[in-house]
Amino acid sequence: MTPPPKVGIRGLSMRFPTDGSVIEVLSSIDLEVKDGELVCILGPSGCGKSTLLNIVGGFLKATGGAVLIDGQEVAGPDPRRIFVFQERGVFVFSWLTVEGNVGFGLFRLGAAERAERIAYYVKLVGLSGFENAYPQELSGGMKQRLEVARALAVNPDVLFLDEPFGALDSITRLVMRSELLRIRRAEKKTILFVTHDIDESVQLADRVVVMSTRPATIRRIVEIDMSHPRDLSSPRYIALRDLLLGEIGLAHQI
Amino acid sequence: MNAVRNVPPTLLRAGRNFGLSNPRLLVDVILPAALPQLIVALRISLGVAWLVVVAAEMIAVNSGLGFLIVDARNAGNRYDLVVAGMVMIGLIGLALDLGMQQLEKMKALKWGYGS
Repeated sequence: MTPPPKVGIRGLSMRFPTDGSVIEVLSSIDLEVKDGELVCILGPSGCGKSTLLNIVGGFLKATGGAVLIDGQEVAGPDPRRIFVFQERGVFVFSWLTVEGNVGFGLFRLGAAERAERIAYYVKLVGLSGFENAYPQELSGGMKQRLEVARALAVNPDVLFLDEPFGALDSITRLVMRSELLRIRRAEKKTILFVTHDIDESVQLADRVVVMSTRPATIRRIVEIDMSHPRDLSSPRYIALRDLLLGEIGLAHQI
Repeated sequence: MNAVRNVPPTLLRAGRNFGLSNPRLLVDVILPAALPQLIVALRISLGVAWLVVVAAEMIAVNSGLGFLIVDARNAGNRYDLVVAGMVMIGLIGLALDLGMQQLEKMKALKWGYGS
């Protein structure tokens, strides 16, 4: 018997009642994510990809279908699956230092193990020397890394990233992508990554799930058959990018 | 209450995501997130409270600074005492406000006040 997929989404649908009418946001989504896979969910703005991620993360209840993680139905948020939010500045706990934030989810551990884990993850995301800084003293990219460290510190199996680099400037965003890949090599996690950035998905993902506009369905799943590090000017990269551009329905020229 | 209502929902979700129970969520997330606004509210109400105390002393009791001012004027036009009472009221009010301002300067709270 083959093991169940890490994340299994079965016939998922979601409707939001809005005064009088009902908006169908997601319609019969089926997706399986293997253990250790990095899957990008790509779609136009407002297509419901964040809603999908919120359902998989257990923050929203779907109106139809089921989400299974390790074969068990998702009933609510769980520290084994950590969600990294997109809003800039309000996602970290501003009243705690870098150390305090990274250690936030570790309240069940003893002091020694806690300190050890904090030190390890602060170093992993490159925030050494800022252990006692408060978030308002950090740059946007550093805050984002802090949030990733806080998520990784509780050793989750699955990470949900909802446009985590969307609020960063384009240079920081590029740096953060390679940082994410570096961290992923160090810590093998299953990652579901929501983005509206085609380049981001081709650079990061093992597979890209292209969503249609509302009600969102899966248009196509594209395998990114390139090994890391990926050459951003190789013909294969450009071919895949163009393929995704076409799937989203965008022209190749501006 | 408004301060608690203004706690960003993402923070609550993050707290829940890390497996916090409701009481812990209150102590570890809601209270610290609301604290800067709570302190602003305290600072304003402390000023109002101080004014009301002095005003009440003028009419209701026979001790305190408010009473001193009224009594000094009624009992023979001791305007030196009236002015001294006024200065004292001002200084105490200032001291109370400065004390509250010090709270706002605490490092773990500074984030709530803009810069």
